[in-house]
Amino acid sequence: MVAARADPTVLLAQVVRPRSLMLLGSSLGLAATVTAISVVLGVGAAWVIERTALRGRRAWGVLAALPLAVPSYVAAFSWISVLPDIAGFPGAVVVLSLCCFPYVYLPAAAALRRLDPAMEEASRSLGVGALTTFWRVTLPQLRPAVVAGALLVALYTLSDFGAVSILRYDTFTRVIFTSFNASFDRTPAVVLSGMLVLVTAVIVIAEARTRGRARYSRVGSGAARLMPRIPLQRTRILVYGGLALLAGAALGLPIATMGYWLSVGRSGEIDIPRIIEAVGGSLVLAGGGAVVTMLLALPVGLLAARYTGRLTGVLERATYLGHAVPAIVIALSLVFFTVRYAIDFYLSIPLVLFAYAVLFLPLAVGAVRASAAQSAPVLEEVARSLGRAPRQVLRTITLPLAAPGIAAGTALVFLAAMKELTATLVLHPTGMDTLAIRLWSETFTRSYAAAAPYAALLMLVSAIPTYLLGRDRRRTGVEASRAPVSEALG
Amino acid sequence: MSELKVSGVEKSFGAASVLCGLSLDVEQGTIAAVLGPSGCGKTTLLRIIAGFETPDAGEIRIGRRVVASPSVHVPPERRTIGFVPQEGALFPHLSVRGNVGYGLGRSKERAPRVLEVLDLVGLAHLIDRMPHELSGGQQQRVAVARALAPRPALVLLDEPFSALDAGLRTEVREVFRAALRADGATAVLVTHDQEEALSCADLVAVMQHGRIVQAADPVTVYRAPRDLEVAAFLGDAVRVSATFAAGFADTEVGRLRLREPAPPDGVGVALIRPEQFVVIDRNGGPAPLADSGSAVAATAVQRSFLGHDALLAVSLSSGAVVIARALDPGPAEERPVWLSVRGPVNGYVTEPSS
Repeated sequence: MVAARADPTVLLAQVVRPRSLMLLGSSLGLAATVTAISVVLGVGAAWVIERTALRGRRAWGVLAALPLAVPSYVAAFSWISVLPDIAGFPGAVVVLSLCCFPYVYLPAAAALRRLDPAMEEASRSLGVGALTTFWRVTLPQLRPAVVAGALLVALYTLSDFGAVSILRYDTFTRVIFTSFNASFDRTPAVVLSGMLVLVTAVIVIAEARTRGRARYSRVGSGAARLMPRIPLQRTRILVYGGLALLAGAALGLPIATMGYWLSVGRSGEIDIPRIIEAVGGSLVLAGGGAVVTMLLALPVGLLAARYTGRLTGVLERATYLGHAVPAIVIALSLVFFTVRYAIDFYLSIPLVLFAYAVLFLPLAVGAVRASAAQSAPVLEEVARSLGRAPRQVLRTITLPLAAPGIAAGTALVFLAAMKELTATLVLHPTGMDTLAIRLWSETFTRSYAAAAPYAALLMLVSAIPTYLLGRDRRRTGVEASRAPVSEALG
Repeated sequence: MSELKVSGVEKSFGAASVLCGLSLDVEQGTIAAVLGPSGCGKTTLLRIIAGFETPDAGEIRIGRRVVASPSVHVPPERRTIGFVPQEGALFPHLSVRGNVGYGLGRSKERAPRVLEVLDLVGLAHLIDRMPHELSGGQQQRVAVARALAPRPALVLLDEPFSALDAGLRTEVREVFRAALRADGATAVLVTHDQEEALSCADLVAVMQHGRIVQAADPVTVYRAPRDLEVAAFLGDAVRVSATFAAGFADTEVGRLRLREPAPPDGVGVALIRPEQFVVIDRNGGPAPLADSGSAVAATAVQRSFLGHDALLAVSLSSGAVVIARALDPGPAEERPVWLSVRGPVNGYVTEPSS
């Protein structure tokens, strides 16, 4: 919008400026490194937890999912407060990889659980060894899950703002924010936003291309048997040590740091009324955002699950735009739009809720669609044949069956909105505080002790739904209700 | 009067014609089985009767009411039908009581009727279970009870027993038959399993190439199939070339009596069911007297033992091999036998004599 008003030569000069190209390199380099490390950590953890005779499998499963509850800027705060020297590229890689690997772990573990042992057995019976079977049969079966997770990691890294700015590593998002804040000339921010959107678009399209045409499902009916678990022998120390190191770095360190800063910071730095105000602000924005987003997602998700037409496909994919476009870009475009055309909404609560809806609609739509797909169309047909009109069928069959998925989707959006920093920072009404904003500004001035209570509260709030998502519910026989969740995450 | 009347129904999906002018009448209170090979369109027929699909042409009446025609489409919920899909498809979030009562609304009659239909399928004691706490056979029985509960004019069943294992299948089938009878329901069942169709239906309608080619009681359909294709679909059939004259067929297994009405004289194929053959060890003894024609000398060359009986491959003097069903399997090795045929056979003339 703004770009169109500017002089094209100025824009071009902006794009080919060495600084812009350097930013492109640093952003892509970070995204590639973090994605590669997350895939290794996520697939490795999933395989060890699902396929070996590990003790305390369920607990390890929860531990491997929990880093999702650590907002990246909270992790960045804890690492830099302990190791100030880590600032820059190494810090960004470590922090983002530890925060992101569950995006690969969760879908990979779910895919491993769904794998039919008969496939591997068939491969072994054809004279192929265990290791080769893993490469030729198991891994290809995991590919869609892993690629989907890797895409999330790459997009997350490109759009992350909190961690890279706390760790002082210049990527697109950080430079966009500072140039937006610092100068009256908005052109650099707009040009950089455009470049960032282009990069994410290229990654999303590339991922769609790799999916190919192969089908990845079991053929035939009947329940899959459970996979036999591989006993751990000499590798035991390595496996337990590796998992413990991972959990320690991703969860232990942030918790320990917060404990440390809370204990040293007792001397009057903890401002209780201010904390309560921030909690209130977070609850209002995240709660409102979750409700608004789910209301928008319900019709889209139900339509997408039932009618696979071209229009519903376009509609559904349109909602995924929010996932690929970085929050900073969405926030800036909302600023430009409201300033120019709807000044009454500039920096208002409805504007923040709208931004959340744009950002988190994919999560909610995915959850609704997956859970509505759980209720087979044949159930609705039977209900119709028993004399119920379509609207009654929706109320008595489709919605009740989708309810757990809808609830999980709402919780997911709430969690994501609670942690959201970038859009909240740019759009929040003046004078309104949230946990994320307080944490960010305290860390920015390096008053780590004052930041600690906010970090602790944020992690606590996010940990509850994440724990519920990561818990192994197989024994209750409602494996199905997991699917929407891993779908929503992956 | 007929409870279901399907007349000239056509349906195609894209270029593929699935139903081509299909007609079917089912009398009130009967169980009809539509029998056809997989993919012959029988499920499409069922879905059109239920109202989940609309026919391209033709008319469907349930009772006196036209429910589908080029100008009428009554939605499924107003057709007074019961539908039992392949895997039962119980509502997973409702108990057995909730499932069976789903079609009954909030009437006072609800509770007693739920118990009544559950009694019919013998599952009243499981009324408070959830679907996942039931076995496959029990789920299927609940699905039948659920379909019967609102006293539908017509119950439609889509291969309802194919997902069950063999032992269970017979049991559930019997329960289902007794329940439908006790409730006086009219039912249409589609299946590709001829044993299922023959054993539980009053009317077997054989479906081929998008239409019903023969509809009659099970005994007639099995004993007097309209043509060789129907015959082969209903069970093992042995075809031998024959010359027909004066109610008899001259074949290389002897002179066989033809079933009435006998085909016109000419040349064609005689159809013998394997269980019509009588196989006796020859051991140098004389040929036994058979009720139609005399026995011929042959050689039993192979045996597959099935438990309740055995199938013998019997080689004739011409070198042709026929399959005979024998209660007494006899030794496995090659041996000389007398082969004769019991009961009348069907003749199909290919070249009438002028």
